[in-house]
Parts: sequence; C-alpha cells; structure tokens
Amino acid sequence: MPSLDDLKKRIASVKSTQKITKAMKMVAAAKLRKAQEAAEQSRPYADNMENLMDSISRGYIQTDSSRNLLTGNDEDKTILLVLFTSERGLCGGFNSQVSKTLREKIIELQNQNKTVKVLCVGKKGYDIIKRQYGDLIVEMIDLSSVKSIQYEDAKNISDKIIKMYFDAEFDRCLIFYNKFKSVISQIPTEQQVIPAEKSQDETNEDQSKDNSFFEFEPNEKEILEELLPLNFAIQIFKALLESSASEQGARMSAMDNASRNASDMIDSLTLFYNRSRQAVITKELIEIISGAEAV
Amino acid sequence: MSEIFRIKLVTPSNVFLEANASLVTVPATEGDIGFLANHVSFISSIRPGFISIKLDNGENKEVYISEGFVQFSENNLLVIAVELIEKQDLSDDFVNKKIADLESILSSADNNIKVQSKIDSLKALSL
Repeated sequence: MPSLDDLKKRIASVKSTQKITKAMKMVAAAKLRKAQEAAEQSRPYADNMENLMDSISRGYIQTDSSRNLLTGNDEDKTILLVLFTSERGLCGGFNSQVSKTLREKIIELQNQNKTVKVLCVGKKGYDIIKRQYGDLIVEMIDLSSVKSIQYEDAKNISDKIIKMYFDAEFDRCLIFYNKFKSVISQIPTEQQVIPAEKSQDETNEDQSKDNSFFEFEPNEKEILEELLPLNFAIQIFKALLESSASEQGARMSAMDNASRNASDMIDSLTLFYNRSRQAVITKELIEIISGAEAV
Repeated sequence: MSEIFRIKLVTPSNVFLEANASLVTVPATEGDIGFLANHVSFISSIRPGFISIKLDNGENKEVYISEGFVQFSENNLLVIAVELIEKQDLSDDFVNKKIADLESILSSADNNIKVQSKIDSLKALSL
C-alpha cells in the first residue's frame, strides 16, 4: 500500500495535469471559433468558383489530349496522395484516423499495380506514415511556423503540386483531410482534385440552359487555363481550413475527456487517501487503547 | 436614374463587397469592359488593375485587383479575385514588390508572355 505522502503527491500531480488539459481545452475552443470563422468566410469564394467552373467546363469539350488539370491525361499509373494532418499532437484520433484512410488507399492502389506517391502536409501524418511507407513519401510540407492559414500558404502548396503534375511526376491526385462536421465528429475525407471532378448534377436543366449563352473573353480554353490552377488552390485552401478546424475540434473534445478522466481519478484517489488516513488513525487509537489496557 | 444590378466581389478570405451598382468597369484581359444592367451573360479573366464601381447611391469606388475572373449573368455581376484592395489603401511599395515578384519568375516561366503582360498592366497603374 502506498504511503499517505505518496498518495498526496499523486493527487497533486493529477491535479496539475488537469489544469493543463483544461487550459488546452480553452485554447482549442478559442482557436476553433477562429478556424470555423475562416472556413465560413472562404465558403462564398469556393462556391462561386465552383459555379464558374461548372459554367465553363460543361460547355467545353477537350480537343487535344495534352496534360491538363481538367480532364487529366489518358494514363493513370502514378497517383499522388496528399495527406493533411496537424503539426501538434494531443488531439485524439485526429491524425491516426485520416492516416488510416490513407494507408487503406495505398494498399488498394498497390494491389492494382499503381505507383503511389505521398505528400504530407503537417508533421504528425508524416511521422505516422514514414514508418511503413517512408519510401513513398516525396515531400513533407511543414506548416508549424504558420499561425493562421492564409490563402498564400495554400497557393504555395498548390503551385508545387501543379508543377509536379506538369513535370509528369504523377497522373492523378487525391487529397485526404478531416472534414469538420461538428466538435465531436470529424470525417476523414478523400477527394480527387486532379483531374478536376465534374459535378454530379448534370441533369440540372436550368443551369445548363443559361450556360449556353455565356460569352467568353478570351476563349474558353484560355480562361480555363487560368481558372484551373486557381480552382485547385482553393480546393487545397478549403482542405487546409477544414483540417485546422477539425484539429481544434478534435483537440477540444480530447482535452475535455482528459479533464473529466482527471477529475474521476482525483475523486477516487482522494477517497483512497481519506480511507488510508482513517485506517492509520484507527490503528493508532487501537494501539493506545490496547496499551492502556495492558497496564 | 439608371437601372441597377447586384454586384458581389469575393476573395478567399472574405466577401469583399456586396452591393447594388449602376456601372462597373473591369480591367479584363483583352481590354476594359463596362457593365451596365442587362448586359449579356459574360465570363472573362481579369488583368491587374482597378475595378471602378458606381454604386446605386452615387458613390464611386475603385478597387485594385491582382488577378481573377468576372462573371455576369441575369443582372448579377460576380468578381472572383485572389486579392482585392481599396485604391486608397494601395501603396507604391506594394505595386513595386508585385512587379519585382513577377520579374523574378519571368525568366523561369514557360508562359512569359502572360507574365510580361501582367507586369505591363501593373506598371501602367497610376496611383
């Protein structure tokens, strides 16, 4: 049985851990609000961009089969997987969930005899993946110096990927990130970004009707050439923002659980401490009484 | 009183402006384009320059745009921009830095006609 002193020390240490987890929860909550705001503010841009893409690409028929971001090239051999994770730990299953989705995809693709390349955004995912698939990782982008994600950061990443694409380093690009559903629920999501996925609702007649009399200047091809990289950048930006909101959400609920566990632990330790103390007092009393009786 | 239409200017970080306007002039890639109400449906890319907007209350606004797209359909004008800055907040240093940035990629880019034309439009800005 631990001595009373030891118990006292343990209670104190659990208490100070609880203070830390509580503080981290507060910080995560504040950061979450900010991240959510940023995600919300980027939404109109992303939505409008998508509409614009739709209006142009629906009426546009690819004439040459050269490498481009909209329809891709005919080959489908090398696939680049981009993994978005956090820079810091202590956020529950946030990183392992999305890494697991990625690992499953790697296995699936390798079974189809495709070459897989992985690009990690964020240190934690890199740490998880490199143990098993270190040779597949082409690059790790460290965002630990970035406090709040700006469009520029997404632009840098997307420029890098687009350059790789035109250097024929891969044929298809998928991104993996945690989609923010709620504070307690983040969904690991897989999304194809190159070639750009065409929207599903092509049956929507109203839209295709007013699309038919758009005038373009310069022609559709040149507009697409400029629009596609921007569209790609906004996809990356969206993934980064979703991922950072999810990270804070995951951290908040993880820290909430940790604080609750700590208080449970403190309760049971305190009970145990009081019982042991009482036992010591009773023992001493018995000793005194039996000593007095013996006299 | 001229007819008005809805305009919306969006950037990745926010909705820059949402208002009613009677006239908007946009520096499109192939020359400035003025939009009045009931313009034909139209999509174009934009070169660096100033969008000038005449709001329905008579106020005039000039906004710097680095690159982006304009879409007009059914009396809604939409500008999708990477960066928008009010003209009075724009400084020489900022423009010079942009020019320097572009010049540094000019030699390495495959598409240097486009980069060069961007530099030219930036240099033509009168502040």
